[in-house]
Amino acid sequence: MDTERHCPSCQKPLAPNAPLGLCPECLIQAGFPTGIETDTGSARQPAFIPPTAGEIAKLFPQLDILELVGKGGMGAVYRRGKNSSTGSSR
Amino acid sequence: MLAASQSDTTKAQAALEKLCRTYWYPLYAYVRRRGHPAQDAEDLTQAFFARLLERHWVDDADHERGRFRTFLLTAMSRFLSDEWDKARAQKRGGGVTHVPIQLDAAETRYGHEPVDNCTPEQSYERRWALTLLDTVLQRLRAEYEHAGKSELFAALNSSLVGGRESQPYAELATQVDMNEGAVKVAVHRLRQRYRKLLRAEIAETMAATEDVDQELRQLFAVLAGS
Repeated sequence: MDTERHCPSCQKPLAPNAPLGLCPECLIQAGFPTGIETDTGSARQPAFIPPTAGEIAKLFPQLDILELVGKGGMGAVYRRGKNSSTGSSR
Repeated sequence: MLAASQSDTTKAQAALEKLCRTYWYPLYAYVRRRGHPAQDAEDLTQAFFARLLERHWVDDADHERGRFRTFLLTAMSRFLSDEWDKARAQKRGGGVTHVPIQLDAAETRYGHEPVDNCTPEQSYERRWALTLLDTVLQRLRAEYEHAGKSELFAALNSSLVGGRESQPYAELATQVDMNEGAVKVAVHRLRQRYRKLLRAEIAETMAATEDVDQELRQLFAVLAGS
């Protein structure tokens, strides 16, 4: 018998001690000002907040991260300087 | 600065006690996860809070701490290694510590929790996040109850998660006997109020210079990683 409940929004399994039976991760997501209130079509996907270029630069010291080019629902693209004029790094 | 370290000592003390009353359980569970048996863990947690509140640790040191969440864990970890023996000796010698924080049904609650494979620190962070959400949701529910709208809250609270467009408005409308437009407004208000309360609660546990969004991101990572 499968009694495991899943979050209707992110589909992850819900722990029995979830607050009000709601998914804790989605509840945190709902706290972002640019979060789920501003999304348009992709309602099931919680809003993705891309790290700043500075934060990425710290994680990839070997790359010369210049700027955030753009973001999608699940990832972001940054421009880097070294070795390539067109190089982009995800 | 952190609300709990305002220069006004009485106010700071009250703020600190309030934070301790809200967030004692993650610490208790941390002490248990560090291997202390139930009977010791309660004494230990009480002794920790007694010292924290008596000695104004928050005022004295750690001006660099940004988050109360991290500060409490660090202080408890230090307390466990340095102070516990002393505290126990004092207790056996008749030293009286008043009980500042009620640890209601701590062990029962701990015993009912699912077992996880995290480190004690990760468990603490996760419980902190859950306690925060519980606190905010309880407050939100109390507000609706106070306004005589308990049933509305019960019907709509599931719409706090997920996208605004994906909510089953028609279904909710039937449930609460309102038209769809009115339900949309009610859901929007509920979500807005929730967000405001959540951000305010987080702000109370942080230095003002820090970003609430950053803490939200960390709490999300904590929950996603377990």
